[in-house]
Amino acid sequence: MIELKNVTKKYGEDTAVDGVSLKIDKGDFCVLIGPSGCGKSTTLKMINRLIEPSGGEIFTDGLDVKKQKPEILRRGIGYVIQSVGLFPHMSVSDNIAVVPRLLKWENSRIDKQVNELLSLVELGSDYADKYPHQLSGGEAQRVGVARALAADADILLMDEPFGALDPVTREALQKGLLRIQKKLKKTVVFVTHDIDEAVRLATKIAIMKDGRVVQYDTPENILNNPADKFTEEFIGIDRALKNLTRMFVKDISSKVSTVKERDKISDVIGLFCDKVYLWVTDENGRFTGWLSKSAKLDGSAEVKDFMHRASSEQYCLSTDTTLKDALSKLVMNGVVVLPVSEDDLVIGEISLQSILESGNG
Amino acid sequence: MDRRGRLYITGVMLVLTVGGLTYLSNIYGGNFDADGVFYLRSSFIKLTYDHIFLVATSSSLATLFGVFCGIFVTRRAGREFLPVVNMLASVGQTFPPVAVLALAVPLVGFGAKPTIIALLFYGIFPIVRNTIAGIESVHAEIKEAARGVGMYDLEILFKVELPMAASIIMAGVRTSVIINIGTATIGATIGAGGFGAPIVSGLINENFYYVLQGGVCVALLAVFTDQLLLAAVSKLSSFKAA
Ligand SMILES: Nc1ncnc2c1ncn2[C@@H]1O[C@H](COP(=O)(O)OP(=O)(O)OP(=O)(O)O)[C@@H](O)[C@H]1O
Ligand SMILES: [Mg+2]
Repeated sequence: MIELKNVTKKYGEDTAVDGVSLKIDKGDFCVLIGPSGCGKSTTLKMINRLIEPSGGEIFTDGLDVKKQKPEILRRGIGYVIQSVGLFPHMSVSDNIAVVPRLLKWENSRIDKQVNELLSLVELGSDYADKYPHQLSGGEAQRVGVARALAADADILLMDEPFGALDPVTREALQKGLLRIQKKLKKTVVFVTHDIDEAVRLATKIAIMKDGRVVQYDTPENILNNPADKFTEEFIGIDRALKNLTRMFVKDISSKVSTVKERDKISDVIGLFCDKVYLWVTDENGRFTGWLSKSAKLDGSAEVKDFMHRASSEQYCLSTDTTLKDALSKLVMNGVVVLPVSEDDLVIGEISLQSILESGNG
Repeated sequence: MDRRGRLYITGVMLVLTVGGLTYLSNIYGGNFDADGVFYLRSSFIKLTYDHIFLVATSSSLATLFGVFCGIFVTRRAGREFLPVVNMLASVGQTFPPVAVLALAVPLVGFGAKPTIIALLFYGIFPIVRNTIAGIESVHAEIKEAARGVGMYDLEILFKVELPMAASIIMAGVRTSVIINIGTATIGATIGAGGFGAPIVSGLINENFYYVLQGGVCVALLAVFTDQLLLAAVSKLSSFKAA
């Protein structure tokens, strides 16, 4: 748990951070976001005392940070900056082992920890002996995350860790971070410029402007009820779509009965009810196409004689697709409903109507 | 030829030259008069030893003080001295070593001591300069990362700044040692021995061979030491800064 009470930082006459109060619960992923120079990094660095506040109080796990020795405090808080923060003269494993060594862990325990962390951040053990200049930006950043996690700190501070990466790598690392956070449940404070990144990762977002927090709430609430004009402009006019990036197909998929290719039409015709399509599968339950409701259907024929064949890649949505991507696939195919599959098997469907309803909050 | 080959060859050449000169002066010594072809006053092995002693002592002290001084002026406490030391380091280099020698003699007398002082004074500047340059070459982000993971100031110095500056500092040491191997010959003018002895004696007696013998030995020692230190530097710089 982290608590900032009325924290201020002044540089001479200038106020970089102006009376910020935030309470970040254990396990929360708090994203600080705002325009350049609004005081995000300063706020973050005051938590591990890289910068001393001019006023106010900061507590980690109920303890006043001022009462702790800065070096000892920092060893208990993971800190990630852009990839330049790796020590160039140390191998990957030495970089990860830095804090455990400072804490004088036994070598066997350090080795074990380094190996576990390398696999946690999805780098093979053959990365252990590489040097930072031999890594790509994305790999270096994974090492940075591993280093911050090395001493099992409960708190993780991250200052634009993915800022310098290309969009594809960035998304891969965001997914990885979400997976790690789901497993380890750290208390994270994460600084970014990128509202999409914030919406994707955060459980709480603090929007900052001119050294103040203008809104601090869950991403859903911020997207649905921006506090003022500044926030509204900052999150952009596509905020409804952004909200959809936080929801997944599995959350709103509805169960549906499917038919098999060899079924007799007269047996399945009753399943239509008010529907226009029935999803058709093979014997194993894999999507092969659909059957349209029409007057021409001949009850004595089999489904396969009247069905429309289609590929599952083009039409099926997997359960972990975001609603934004699902919406895109509906629009792309020009339809109002698509099947949902898990492990290749059709398990339900999702309609445009249901996405619109959940998009409105 | 690779670096290791050059190191061995210069080493062998040095040993053969010194050994050969010692051997020849032993054999022919008795048959020549005062302005003989081979320098006789002390053996070449002794001259080598004296020369190495002068350079090793002064360079070790120069490295010790130079690195210490470079570290001090890059600490928070010593920052204010940085501009002064930087200026001294570039100006000091232009001060002639003979002048230092002349100033040191009245203070500590003749022999090895004033020579070592002059060499120390002269050799410290490249080391200070490179220590400062090396430590300043460590990016602010790296130092912040080091603070961020919870290193104390001394840990930052020994685990981050010095290892990252090592190859630059070693390059300064190398320059300093090579300069001192050449400069140490002036010590012979005040009786410090070394390869300067045959050179000075040859100049006084107008004996070309003496000068040549001393000169070749100094040159070989310098080239060999250079290769030796180069090998050490390349070990240290086996990493590249990102
Ligand atoms: N050492 C300093 N001395 C004086 N002013 C400073 C110092 N560090 C930061 N500032 C000022 O404090 C303000 C906040 O800086 P901070 O680095 O926290 O911004 P930021 O929100 O992280 O910006 P960015 O997104 O560009 O990283 C800025 O106006 C900056 O100019
Ligand atoms: Mg910043």
